[in-house]
Amino acid sequence: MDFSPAHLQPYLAQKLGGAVEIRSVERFSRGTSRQTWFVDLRRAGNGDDETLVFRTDLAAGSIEPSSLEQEYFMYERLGHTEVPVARVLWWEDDPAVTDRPFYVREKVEGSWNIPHFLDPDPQYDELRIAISKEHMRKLALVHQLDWKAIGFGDRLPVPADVASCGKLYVETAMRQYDEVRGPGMALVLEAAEWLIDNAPVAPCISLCKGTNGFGEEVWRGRELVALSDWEEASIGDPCADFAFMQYLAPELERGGKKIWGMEQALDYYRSISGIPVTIEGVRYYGVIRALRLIIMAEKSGQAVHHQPLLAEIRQAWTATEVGHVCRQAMLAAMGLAEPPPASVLAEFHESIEAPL
Amino acid sequence: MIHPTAADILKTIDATLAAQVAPALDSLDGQSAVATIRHLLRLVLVRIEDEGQNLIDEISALRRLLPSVGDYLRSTGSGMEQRRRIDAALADAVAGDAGDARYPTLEALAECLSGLREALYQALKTLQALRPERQEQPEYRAVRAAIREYIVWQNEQERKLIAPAFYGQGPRR
Repeated sequence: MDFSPAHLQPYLAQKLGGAVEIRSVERFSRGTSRQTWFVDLRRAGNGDDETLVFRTDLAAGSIEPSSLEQEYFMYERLGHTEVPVARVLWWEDDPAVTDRPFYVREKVEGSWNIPHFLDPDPQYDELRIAISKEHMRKLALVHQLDWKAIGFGDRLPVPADVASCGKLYVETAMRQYDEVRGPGMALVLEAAEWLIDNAPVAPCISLCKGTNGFGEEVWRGRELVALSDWEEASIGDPCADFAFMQYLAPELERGGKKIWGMEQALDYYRSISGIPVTIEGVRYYGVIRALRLIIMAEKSGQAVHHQPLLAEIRQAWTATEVGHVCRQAMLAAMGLAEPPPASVLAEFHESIEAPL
Repeated sequence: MIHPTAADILKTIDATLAAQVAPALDSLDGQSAVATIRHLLRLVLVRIEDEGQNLIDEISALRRLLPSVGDYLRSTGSGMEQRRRIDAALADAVAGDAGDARYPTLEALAECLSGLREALYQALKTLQALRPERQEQPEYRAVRAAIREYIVWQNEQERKLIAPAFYGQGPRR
């Protein structure tokens, strides 16, 4: 897709049924899996600017193994529920318009950033705990959704029972691995076997968002106003959603006393949802998360290898450092190696606009 | 030999990106890309120096491991296709042999290693399928343990390329 104003202007005029002025076009710098573009425009006869959000795959293919169309489907269906998400507007795959499909959604006012959330000053502990609780409340909404009624079961793999959630997740991941891989990695087979051997029984079968935490969602003050990044959604064990929280269950200890952390967050979540998510289950899905990231790294590596002129620089990073660190984490979980340094995992979440 | 070396030039490119290019960029997107590029330049620098030996070492490791995996599969009477693949990959894995006067390119070594890795992957799939009936057998356990030992060693080899390029070097994006 050509995101130049000259290309967007006639397209959006036709799509929106009237003249529009493109005020600015900016690519969101934080996202890695797909491209996100913010297009500010003004419609003729209307003095207010509005912003549309465009989502499309990277030119050499998304880092994420699931399709863009599935992501669109998730947003569209969730728009009929109480879960806060940006409203999708339309899907576009007309080759006369674009060389690769995209969809458009409304922009929800807010920010991925939460001022002072990462500031270690204890005065912000209260903020951190309030944000964490808000996140738990919104995750509970997702997990309590009647996913069958909304139609997710027609699209996403559905476990036969609570005992088979982990196994299905691994089998789905391995199918994706075989679709995207280069030369096979023995480690991936060992990891899959270990994960199936050690799969816990889920407390229930829920819609799971997939990737969560600081940097993924849209916040307005202390309210989580839009849950974003649904590309890794699945149906299975809700423990999966606590395995990749990116700081939203921060471990806080003051004066030798634990005042917040994953255990406290899970207690709070249980009190509002009634779902007994366990630390052990969360740890297990943390390991599954490493397997998924290994697969994303593999897909990225193939994109750079086969389409080096179209691939993005972050795909080269994902293929190299991210892949390696996740393989190291996987081996550590299996008791075969030391875990990667904690400082490296922290560095992964840094960006130039939000250094640690 | 050309001076400056490839490594020297990469260091100068990196320093130029940091001192001149990054400060001149207005967009966050561009600055973020430069941050990622600088990490990857360091990785290329490390790989220029160390990857050749790294690949030769892994090819040697798999040339030692795969025959025993093939032998075990043969003893079970299963995995004929996987055994054939092992034999073919081993026959192709001549790069780095003593007596070969040609300097092997990284590309050629990587291709050779890819064949060996794929042969191991397919063999391991077969071994996993045999697990329910053979997991208590000492020979089975030994071959699985040898594969795990290789995996751990291989990841450590990879760490030697990755860690100096990335760890502690600031935001990746």
